[in-house]
Amino acid sequence: MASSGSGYDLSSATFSPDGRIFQVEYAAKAVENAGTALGLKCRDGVVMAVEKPLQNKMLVAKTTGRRIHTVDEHSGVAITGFVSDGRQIINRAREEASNYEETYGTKIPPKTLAQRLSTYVHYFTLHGALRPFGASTLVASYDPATKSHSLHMVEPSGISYEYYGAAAGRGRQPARTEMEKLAINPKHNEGEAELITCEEGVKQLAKIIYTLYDESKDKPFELEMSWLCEGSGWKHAGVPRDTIAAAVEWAKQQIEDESDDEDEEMEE
Amino acid sequence: MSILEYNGAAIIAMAGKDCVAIASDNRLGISYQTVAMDFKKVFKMNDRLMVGLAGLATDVQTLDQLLRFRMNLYELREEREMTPEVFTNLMSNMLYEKRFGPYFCEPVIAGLDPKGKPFLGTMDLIGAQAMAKDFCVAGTCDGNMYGMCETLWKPDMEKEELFETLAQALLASVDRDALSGWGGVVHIITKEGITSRELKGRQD
Repeated sequence: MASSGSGYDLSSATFSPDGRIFQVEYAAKAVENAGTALGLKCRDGVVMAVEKPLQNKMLVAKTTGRRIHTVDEHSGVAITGFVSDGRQIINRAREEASNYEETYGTKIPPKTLAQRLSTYVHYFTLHGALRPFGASTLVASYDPATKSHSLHMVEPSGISYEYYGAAAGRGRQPARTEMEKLAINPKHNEGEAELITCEEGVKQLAKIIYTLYDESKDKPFELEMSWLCEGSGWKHAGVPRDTIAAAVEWAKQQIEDESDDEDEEMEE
Repeated sequence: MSILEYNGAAIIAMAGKDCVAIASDNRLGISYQTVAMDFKKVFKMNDRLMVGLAGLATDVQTLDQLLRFRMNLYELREEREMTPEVFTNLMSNMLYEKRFGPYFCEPVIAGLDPKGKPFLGTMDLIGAQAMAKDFCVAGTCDGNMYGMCETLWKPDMEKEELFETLAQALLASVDRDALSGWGGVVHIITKEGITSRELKGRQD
């Protein structure tokens, strides 16, 4: 467990003697306790998935509590952490995209959108009586000018990087390990042609989420997925429910097969 | 006289085959009195984009500064060059921002789009855009310029012929206008770069 902060953690305007801002770190902890959000940059697009724990048996699932939102035709954003904090970030992203298009007449480039959100989130870590956002944001975006797609993640500290595979929330550590096994990084594969497609990405993300899920410990959840790919005309859209259902079927089957294999190995 | 005619100006831009040219006169006047014969009204924004500004001289110069400022910031942040379409939109926005206290300036934008095809655009002082495939004009003798261009322009001119046509159109237009003239300058933009030539006209 990290040090208690002992007085240096009361305000985000205070550095600790070892150069940390505890409030920002605590904000990151808030994200760590929330449902897993995953993003994958595939050969022909970007796929995002969020695990939505169903807090309450009375919840009308499938409609409320969206975690993935469209920011502009060519950009989508997935949040995890404090959902209400996330909503503010989404609204801001929409404003930024809209303003940019009004001023410059072109769609906001992915890097610029990520940077604008970074700046916004960062502002809350050092201004007045504001508290940092307790939400991490995955940004999937397509740049029509350069015909390239990308995935960025903005953390509560305001840091943002571009990723091949990004994970935030409860299961991010094992998720990252699983993602490293996938063919998404051209450097570790024999060039572009070997990378997985979005269709494959959808299945793999479903598998990762289900692998991480522990029935005894975690609440029942809903899986929300979106993609921004050649197949969707480079528009950010929700993955159709039957595709998700098929991916979940496949994932569960794979997990069973793998655990059967393990059992066989153990018996030998 | 109206505020847009206070200093006098004549700007024409024409499109050729994979090239554009933009020209302006040189006069700066304070009403009837000529005060300078070398006043710059066409400004280079980058190697493929130039903008000509007709109207109140102070706004011509201020807009040049503002546009270069916005362009530089864009290039620093986005790490890429501004295309003519984006520039036109940006300018339109900047002008409309001052809707109820406008810049008294009517711009003409000439450039090559990322594919190397000619781009021409113009707008009024509050940012209403108009793009054209052949020519765009602005200034105190715009009627004259429209007439000359309509008569002399033809499609797919190479850069030498484009220069001749543009020069003749401009010089003939400003001769009948008291507020513009005193020579001119023509800039030709091709994918190789920008060539500029001075025009000697009637110095009156």
